[in-house]
Amino acid sequence: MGSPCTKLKINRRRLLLGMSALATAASFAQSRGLAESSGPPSQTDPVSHFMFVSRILVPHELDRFVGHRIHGALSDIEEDFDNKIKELQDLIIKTSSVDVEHFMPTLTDIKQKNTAMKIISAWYSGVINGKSKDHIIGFESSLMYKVTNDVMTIPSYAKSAPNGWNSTAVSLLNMPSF
Amino acid sequence: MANLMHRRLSAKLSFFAAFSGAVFLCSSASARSEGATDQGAYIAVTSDCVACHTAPDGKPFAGGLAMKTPLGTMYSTNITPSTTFGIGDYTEADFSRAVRKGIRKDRNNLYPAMPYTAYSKMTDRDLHDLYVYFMKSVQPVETAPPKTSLPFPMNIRSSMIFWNILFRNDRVFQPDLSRSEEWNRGAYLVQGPAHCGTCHTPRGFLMQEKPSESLGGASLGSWYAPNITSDKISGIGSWSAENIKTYLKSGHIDGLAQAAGGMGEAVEHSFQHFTDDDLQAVATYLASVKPVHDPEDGNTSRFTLGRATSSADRVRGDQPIRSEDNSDMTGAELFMGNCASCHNFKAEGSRDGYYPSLWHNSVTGASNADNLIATILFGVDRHVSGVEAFMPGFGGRKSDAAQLNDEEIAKLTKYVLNTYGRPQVSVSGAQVKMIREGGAKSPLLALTRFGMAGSMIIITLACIRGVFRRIRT
Amino acid sequence: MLSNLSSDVIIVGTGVVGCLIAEQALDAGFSVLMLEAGPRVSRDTIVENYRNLPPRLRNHWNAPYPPKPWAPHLETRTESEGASYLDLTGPNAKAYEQGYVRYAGGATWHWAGICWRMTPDDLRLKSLYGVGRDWAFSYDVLEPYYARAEHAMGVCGPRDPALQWPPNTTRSRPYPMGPIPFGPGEQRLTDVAATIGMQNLPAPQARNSGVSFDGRPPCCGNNNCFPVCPIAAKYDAATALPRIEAKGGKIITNAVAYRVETNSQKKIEAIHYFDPNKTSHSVSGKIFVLACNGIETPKLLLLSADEKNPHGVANSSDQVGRNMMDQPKLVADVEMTEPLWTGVGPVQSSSIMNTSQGDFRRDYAGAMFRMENMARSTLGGLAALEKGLYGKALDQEIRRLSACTARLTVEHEPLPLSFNRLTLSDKKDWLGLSRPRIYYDVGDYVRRSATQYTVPLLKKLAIALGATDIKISPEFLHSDHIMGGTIMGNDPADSVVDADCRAHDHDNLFLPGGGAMTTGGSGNSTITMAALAIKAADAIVGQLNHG
Repeated sequence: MGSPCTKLKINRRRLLLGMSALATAASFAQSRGLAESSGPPSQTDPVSHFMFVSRILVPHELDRFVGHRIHGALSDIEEDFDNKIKELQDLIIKTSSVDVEHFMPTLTDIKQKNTAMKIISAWYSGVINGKSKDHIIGFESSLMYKVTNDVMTIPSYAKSAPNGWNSTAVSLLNMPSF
Repeated sequence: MANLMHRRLSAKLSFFAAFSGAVFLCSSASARSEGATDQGAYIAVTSDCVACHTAPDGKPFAGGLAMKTPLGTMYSTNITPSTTFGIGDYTEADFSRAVRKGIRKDRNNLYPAMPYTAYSKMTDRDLHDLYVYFMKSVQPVETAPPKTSLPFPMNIRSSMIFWNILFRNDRVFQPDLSRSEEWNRGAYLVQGPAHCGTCHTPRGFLMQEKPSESLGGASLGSWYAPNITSDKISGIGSWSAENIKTYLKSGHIDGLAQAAGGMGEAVEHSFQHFTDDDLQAVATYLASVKPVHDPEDGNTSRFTLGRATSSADRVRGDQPIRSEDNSDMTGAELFMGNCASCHNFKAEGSRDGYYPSLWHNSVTGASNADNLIATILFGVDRHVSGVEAFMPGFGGRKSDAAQLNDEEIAKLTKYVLNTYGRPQVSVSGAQVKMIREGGAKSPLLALTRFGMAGSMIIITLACIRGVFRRIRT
Repeated sequence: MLSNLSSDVIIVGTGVVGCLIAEQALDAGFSVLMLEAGPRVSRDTIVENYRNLPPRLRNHWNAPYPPKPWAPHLETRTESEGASYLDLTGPNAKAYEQGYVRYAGGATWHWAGICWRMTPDDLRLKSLYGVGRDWAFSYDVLEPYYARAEHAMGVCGPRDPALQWPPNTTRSRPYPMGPIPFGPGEQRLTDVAATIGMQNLPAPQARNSGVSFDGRPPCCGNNNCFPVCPIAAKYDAATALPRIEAKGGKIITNAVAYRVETNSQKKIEAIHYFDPNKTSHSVSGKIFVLACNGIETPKLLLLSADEKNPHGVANSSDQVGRNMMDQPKLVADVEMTEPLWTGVGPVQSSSIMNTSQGDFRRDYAGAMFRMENMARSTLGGLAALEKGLYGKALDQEIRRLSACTARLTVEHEPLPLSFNRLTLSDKKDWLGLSRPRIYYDVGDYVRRSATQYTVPLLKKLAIALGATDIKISPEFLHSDHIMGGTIMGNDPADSVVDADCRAHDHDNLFLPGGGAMTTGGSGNSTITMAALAIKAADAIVGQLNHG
């Protein structure tokens, strides 16, 4: 604070303050939007429709940022994807479905069922297998890691403090809550 | 390893500070009532003599630790009772003069790397016990550490005479009778043996502590000893006494702060061995220290910034599988590849708190990026209660398994500050380079190098003015 | 021909063997130059490569290490990739699909870190059981080098002698670190195995246990030892590279050695290499070390054939490229009613070793049994999705498949068989160099073991674990432990290197590592390679001091 060298630092800091503020704004610009309401979206944003359908198909807390990515990848490889989502959304509303267990049996059209399964698979596995290549959605956000996260770490991430684990086996029935 | 031990040292020395020292991890706690030797051992612990007076892998108190200071490399001395190489022929008066006044038996001056300005507050009784401990319980080591030879004119030890006239304290701690016994004990420890101000109080032009900003935070070589005054925003005024005690005992409070660098060593060698009563006393005293506010902090404390947010989202999607390094990695990519494996991709740390969260963390919330940069460069290695808290360095040593360059560390630091800490703080590659090299060089040396005559005049004038001022008061 | 750099010691290969020798030579005051065929890539890049892989490739250990065109290594993601480098033939070609990495740091990038020493009996197969060969020395000679290797790499292991391997032997030094705790799966396997006379031991492993070692952090259970330890808690040779450079060693990457040049005194004179522009360079020195393990080292010796060395360098015995070994492996994928919960702690942390020893070895191979301790959540997730499930049923099935399945493996000790042979293929690689052609037949010794001994035992173990379904691999697979190829022995007529891994034919050429191993034993080969490297380094330093 008082010494000459810190004074120099402070001056430089002020000079760079503007730049730093800009950088900060940029880095937060891509952070996700606010949590959505649970009802059907009224706006025309296709991602919002996709998220509404996803919330019925997948019994987990869903991240809109990840949803955005899945929607983008499926839109690229599935013809007319937004219309398919619209159809699914209409069906959900029509059948008053509140969860996937109720909704899936109401799907009689095999194409609609396939679309639903693709969406489920993308959320769980973090990948969409396209015709010519795999579309990677994410790794850490893959829901398949959530159902064992009371015991297993997502590979490559620390489980605990060094040597902080033990051999206690956990019941299968104690499903973590998400 | 070597570097690791130096941090605090080089730190303190940033202005010359450290000779501190203590014992080797003697059992401490019970010492009070059991004779001068045990009592002395505890005082040596509270004074942390061992930290500076022991070389890496060296014998306790045999000296030889190289301390890089802004004025050159200094070596700590052998303070075992060896009559040839140590202090075996010191009388108690000689010992007291060295510890409290910075004057060796041969009448040469010590550099204030030895914190005698703080030790001067120590009581005669503590000095006696400490002397007995060093003479009776410490094993003599018959080796000589390397000699300190600072560049001219700092090699003239008598130049310290002027400095001492200006800045040495010559008064043993005087209790404030209006305060509790506990408060007085805390004040004594903080100002005296534990020499907190040596690191945490900013220094003036001549490297003297500035009493008006006592414990207000100071740069120390590569590290920054933060504000520990009672200010609610800039200091630790928001901490409970329990927080302070836990921190000093363990060096770690998840969601608040971790001790690394010099503070890691202080916890390891000294504070963890304090009695509970003494820790309580320190906490009580610190809560009363005059608040010092740093305008840089605005109205946000360094302990409350940031939140969990996924860095993974910023780097995933279709990415190339690379067979060479990307020379232009983003801060998020650097974070994911180097930090997230332990601190988690949301920077929330491990569930058991061993790996701290990087938000609500004094290092990322500070208005000064030094400690974040130094931690990335040099890592953490703190041993408390037989458990090691460890983070590898990322290139601070040439042998580190991971080698991040200055620009990469600057990008990484900025990313962490932006995402999880105080986004206003600026970081540059040049700053990383400076911290990698041990911190800002002292302007004193530059002055003396480039204008010996001029600077000596300044110092002399300053001395004369100081002497006059003293006479007047 | 361009630059002619020179150094006291020239080392080809920057894996564990090359790095241990480099450091020892540097510490002794000699200059060291290392050549690495592949690129040098930072850990953060590899870690992020892993995370960016599609899930089906996450257990493909080479996938985060895409090869450079000039330094191909085996890839098996697709048929065409599998056929693009190693030219494998013979009845058990599949059992030689070795997954090594041609990157600076070598295959330790994705080794499991397991450090089983060979036993005194493993070194005396011929005299004890009349099969294979005897080593050039006894276990007592090797023991101190094992201890040094354990301290050089930082191996943690049990303090209790009853849990140490080999049994009934004396260790000159304790492990530098204590054991890593078991997760639920490994504990259960240990308990169950004990009921049928199989002893599952905590594995000595080059992984930091509870404390830092050499500036590397302790293991925090990231469960990703292969394909990459994200924090370098596991020793890999890539962690030694900055230290080697800090000590003055030079490392040239993307430098593919293709010729070892000898002079008229049968000394090695130079190593020639190609850079990625296909430009040739050469380096000269006093001592030359080929540390490219059991495939690339014999390939390089054979590629160096010329008038002076018509069968290749160091090959007057015609043994270069012969006796190729690995532990032929069978795997059993089992499903159980009760959860086993693998995936807590390192991906491998224990093995059953007592099945590797005994008089039966007159007739058939001994073997090591173990369970993969990899988190099975990726596999479980993909398998449950395949079933077309959704909702709570999907969650429950992922959890069940992750917890109630396991992979057991049995790895058989190989014999050195001269017909298992590496030769130069007529197929060329990107640089125009011959690719390695390898004929591989696991042999009757191993086949008999599988039918009479290991497969019945594997089933017994699976059933004891409560298996309701057992799928055993239909053919032998590779264990990625490349051994043989430049076999060690006292007789220059039937071996390539002497007891110090020095070529019988050229006294300034050393060929340490897996290629020198006379027999393979049942355990992982790296610790023995490292011990041989340190023994060779002693000889190299001695030779430089006196020569």
